[in-house]
Amino acid sequence: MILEPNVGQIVLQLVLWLPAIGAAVVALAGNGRAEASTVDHDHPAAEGASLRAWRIATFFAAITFILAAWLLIGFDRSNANQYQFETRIGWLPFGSDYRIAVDGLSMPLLALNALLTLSAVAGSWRIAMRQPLYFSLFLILESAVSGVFTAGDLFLFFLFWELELIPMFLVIGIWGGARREYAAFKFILYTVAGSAFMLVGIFLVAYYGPRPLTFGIAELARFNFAQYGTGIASLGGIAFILLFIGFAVKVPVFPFHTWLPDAHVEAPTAGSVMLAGVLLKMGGYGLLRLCVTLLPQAAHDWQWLLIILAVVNSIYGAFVALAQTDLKKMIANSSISHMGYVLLGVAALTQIGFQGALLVMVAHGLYSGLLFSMVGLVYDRTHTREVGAMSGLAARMPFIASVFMIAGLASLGLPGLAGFVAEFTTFIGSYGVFPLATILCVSTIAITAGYILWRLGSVFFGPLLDEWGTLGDAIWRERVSVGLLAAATLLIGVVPSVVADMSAGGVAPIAARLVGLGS
Amino acid sequence: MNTPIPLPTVTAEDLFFGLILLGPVLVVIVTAVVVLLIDLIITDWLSRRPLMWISALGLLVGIATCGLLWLGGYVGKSAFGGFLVLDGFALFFEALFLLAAMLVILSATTFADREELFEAEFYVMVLFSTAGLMLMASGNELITIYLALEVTSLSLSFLAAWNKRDAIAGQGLKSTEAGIKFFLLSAMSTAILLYGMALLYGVSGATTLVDISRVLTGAPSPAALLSVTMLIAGLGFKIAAAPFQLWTPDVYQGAATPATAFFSVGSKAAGFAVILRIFNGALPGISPEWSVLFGVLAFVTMTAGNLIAIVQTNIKRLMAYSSITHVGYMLIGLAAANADGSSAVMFYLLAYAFTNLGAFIVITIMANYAPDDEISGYVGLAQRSPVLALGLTLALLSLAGIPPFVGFFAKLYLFLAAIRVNSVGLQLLVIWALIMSAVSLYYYGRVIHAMWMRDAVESERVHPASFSQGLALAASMAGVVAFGIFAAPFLNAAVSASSIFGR
Repeated sequence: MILEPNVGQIVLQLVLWLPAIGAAVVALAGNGRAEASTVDHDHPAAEGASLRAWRIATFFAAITFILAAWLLIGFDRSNANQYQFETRIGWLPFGSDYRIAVDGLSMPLLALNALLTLSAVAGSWRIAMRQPLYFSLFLILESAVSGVFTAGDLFLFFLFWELELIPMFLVIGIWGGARREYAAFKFILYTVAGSAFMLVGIFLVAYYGPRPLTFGIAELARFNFAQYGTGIASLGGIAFILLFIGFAVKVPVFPFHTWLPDAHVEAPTAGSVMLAGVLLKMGGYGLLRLCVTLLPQAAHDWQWLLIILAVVNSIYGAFVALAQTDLKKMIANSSISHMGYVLLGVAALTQIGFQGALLVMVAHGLYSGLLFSMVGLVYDRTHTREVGAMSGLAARMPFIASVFMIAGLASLGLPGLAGFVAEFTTFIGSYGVFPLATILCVSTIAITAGYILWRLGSVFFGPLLDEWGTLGDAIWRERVSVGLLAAATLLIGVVPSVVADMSAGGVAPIAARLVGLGS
Repeated sequence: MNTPIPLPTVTAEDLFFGLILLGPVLVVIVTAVVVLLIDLIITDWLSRRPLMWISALGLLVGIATCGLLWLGGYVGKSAFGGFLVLDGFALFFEALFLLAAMLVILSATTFADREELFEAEFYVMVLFSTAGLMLMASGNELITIYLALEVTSLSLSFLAAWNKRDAIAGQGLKSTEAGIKFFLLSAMSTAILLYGMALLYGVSGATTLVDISRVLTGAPSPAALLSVTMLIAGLGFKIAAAPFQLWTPDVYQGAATPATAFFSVGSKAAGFAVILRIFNGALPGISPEWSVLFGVLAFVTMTAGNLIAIVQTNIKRLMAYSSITHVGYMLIGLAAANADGSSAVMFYLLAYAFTNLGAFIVITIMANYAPDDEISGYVGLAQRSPVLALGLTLALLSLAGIPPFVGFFAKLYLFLAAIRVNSVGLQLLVIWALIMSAVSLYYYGRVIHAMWMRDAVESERVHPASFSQGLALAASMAGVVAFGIFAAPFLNAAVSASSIFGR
C-alpha cells in the first residue's frame, strides 16, 4: 500500500507541475466553438460557451487529483512526522535548494488543493468569456499553491507564495462582479505588503540561522533561535511578528481582513472557492510550518497576542456574518470567523491544538468551497444573492437545496460532518490552556447556527414565489463538481482517520519543540 | 607635482597583442564598415534587410570572439601600456553590449521599414556606438575612457535624431529635438567629466587608474573631493541619475523606439561600467566619501523617478522614469562600495537589459498600432495579441520585482549586498527602496490592467512586423523567465568579474 519512495517522488513532482503543463496546453489549444449544450435557458439569446478549454482543464485537474489521492493513500502514515517523497536539487548559490517533499502537515492540504481545483474548474463550464486564459490561470494557481504546501526551502516557499498572486489577481479583475477592479487591486496590494514583511522575516531567520547559510526549513527548525534572547523584542520575537504579518493578511486575521469580503464578493464562483478553500489555508499553514516550527520560543512569547486575535476573529466574523443579507457576503465573513478557530488551535501551542487547527483548515476548505459553489449555482439561476428576494427554492431545486444544507450544517459543526471533528479537536486542544478564550470561541458556534439556519431556511423553504416558479435544478456537470466536495465532507465526518492520523504525526515534531519552554 | 604623462613604449609585439585583446571591438567596427560599403553599392530598389542580418551576424561573431578570448586565457591581460585591459569585468560588459545591440537591431524592423528612414545608417550607428561602449568597459585609463565615451555619445546623438521627420501635431519634430537635446547636454556633461578627470590628474599626477589608486590614499584633499564630485556629476548624466535626469523623458519619447531601447540599456550599462571601474579601480582609498554621495543620489533618484512615473500617460515617458528609478536602485550597490555591491550591480544590469529590451520590443511592435505611444493605445491588448500582452506583462512584472522573474532576483542580490555592509544608512536606504518597489507596482500594474482587464477598442489583431522581431522578443522573454531561476552561472560570472576590485 505504501508507495515506493522513488515512485512517490515522481508522483509528487507530477502533482506539482502537471497543472502548469496543463495551463500551457489550455492556453495554446483552448479556443473552440460555442456549444449548444451550454446555452443558458433563462437567457436563450446568449450565445453559449465553448467547452473545449473546460474539457482540457478538467482533464488535467482530474489527473492531478487522482495522482494526489494516490499520494494520500500511499503516504506512510506511521512516519507522518518525516518528510517523504523528497526531491532535492542544488539551486541558488546562497544556500537555497529546490526541495519538494510532503509530511503529515502538508499532505492533507495538498490533496485538498487538488480536490478543490478539480471542483472549481469542473464547475466553471458556464464561463463564456476568454476561457483559455481563465482555465490556464486556475491551473497555474493550483501549481503555485501546491508549491507552497510542499516547498522544503524558505526561499522556494516565498517564490510559490508570490506566484499565486498574479493568477488570482487576474481572475478577480477580469471575471469578477461590478467592483472587480477595486477588489483585485485591494487583494494584491494587501498581500504584496504582507509578503514584503514576510520576506524580511525569512532573511532575518536565514542570516541569524545556522552556518553555512541555508534556507532549508528542516535545518532552520533544528536551530535554536532563543540563543539570541527571549521576549517579543528579541531577534526571534521580531522575526516571528514579521512572518506573522505576512500570514495574517492571508488567513486573514483582524485587522488585516478587509480585503477578504471585497475579494470574495467580486470574484467569480470558482475564484471564491479557491480563495476560501485553499488560499486562506496558505496563511494557516505558514503559521504552523514557519512561525511556530522555526521560532517556538517566540511563539510562546507572542501567545497572548494570538489568543486575543483568535477570539476577536471568531466573534467579530460571526457577528458581521449575522448582519449580512447577501449570501456570498455572509459566507465570506463566516470564513473570517472559522479561521479564528485555526488561530485558536495554533495559539494553544499543544499537539491537539495544532492538529485541530490543521483539521479545521481541511474541513473549512471543503465546506466553504461547497458553500461558495452552491451560492454560485443559486445565483446562476436567480441572478440575485439577496436573501429577502428568494423563498421556497427547495421546491424547484431539491438537489441544490440538499447539498447547500449539508454544507451549511458542516459549517455549524453538526456531528457526522467534517466541521464537527475539526472544531471539537481544536477546542479540546485549547480548553486546557485558556478556558475563557475557548468558551468565547465555542459560543460563536451558536451564532453560526443562527445565521446559517435562518438564512438558508428563508431561501429554500417557505412559500415558493411566482417569479422563481420556472427555475431548474442542477445539471450533471454541476452535480459532479459539487458532489465531490459533499462526498469528501461526509467522508471526513464519518471516517476522520482519512486525514486525522497523519495530521497528528505531522504536527508532533512542532509540538515537541515547544515542550519545556517556561511560562 | 606636474610631471608629464609617462607615455608607454609600444613595440610591434605589444601592438599585435593589443589588437588581439581588442578583437571583439574590431569585429564590430569591421562589420559596421562592411555594412556601410554594401549600402553604398546596392541600388535603391533593392531591399536593405540583408544588412540587418549581416549586422546581427557580426555581433554574434563578436560574442564568439569574447568566448574565445575567455577560453584562450586572455582574461586579465592588459595592452598598450596598461591603457586597455581585458579582464572578466570588461568581457562581461562587452558580451552584454553585444547582446543588447543584437536584440535592438533585430527588433528595429517596424521603423526600418518606413521609407523616409535610412535603414543601413541605423545599423551602422548602433554598431559604432556598441564599439564605443565596449571600449568604455575595457578602458583602464582616464583618457582612453574619455575618448570611448565621446565616440559613443556622438553615435547615440545620431540615433536619437534618426526618426527626424516624425512630427507630432503641436509638438514639432520630436526626434530632432531629442537628438539636439542629447547632443548639447551630453557635450556639457562630458566637459564637466573632463574637468573632473583633469583635477584627478592634477592631484595624482597619473591617468592610469592603478597609478591614481596608489597616490590617493588617506584623507582626501579638497581638490580630490571636487574632482570626485565632478566625475559623479558628469557620469550621473550618462546614467540619468537625479538631479541630472531631466533630458531622459524627452529623449526617450522623441527618439525612435529601437533607439530608445538602446539608450535605456546600452549607454546606461556603460555608464555604470565606467563608474564601477573608476571608483573601485582608482579611488578605493577615499571610498567613504564617495559612497555617501552615491547613497544620497540613490535616494533622490529612486524617489524622483518613482513619483513622477505615477502620473505618466505615455508609455515611453513611463519607461523613461522607470529607468531612472532603476538607476536609483543600482546606485545603492555603488553606495555599498564593495565587491558584493559591484557584482550585484552587474547582475542587475544584465537582468535590466533583458527585461527592458523585452518591454521596448513590444513597444516597438506596437508603434504601428499606437503611434503616439499612449497607454490608452494598449487597452485590451490581451485580446488583440495574447502573446505580446504576455510578453509586456512579464517584462513589467520583472521590472516591478515580482518573483520568479529575473528582476526580483536582481533586486534581491542588490539589497542583500547593501544590507550586509552593516551600516544603518544603507539599511534605511534598502527599506526605502523596498517601499519604492511596492509603489512601482502601481504604475506597472496600470499598464497590465489596461492590457488585460479592459475590452479592446479596436479589434484589429496585433502581430510583429517581421520574423526577426518575434525572435528578439522570444530571446528577451527567455532571459526574463530563465535568468532568474537559473541565476547561479550568471551571478558567479558577475562575482568573479568584480573580484578584480579586491575588496
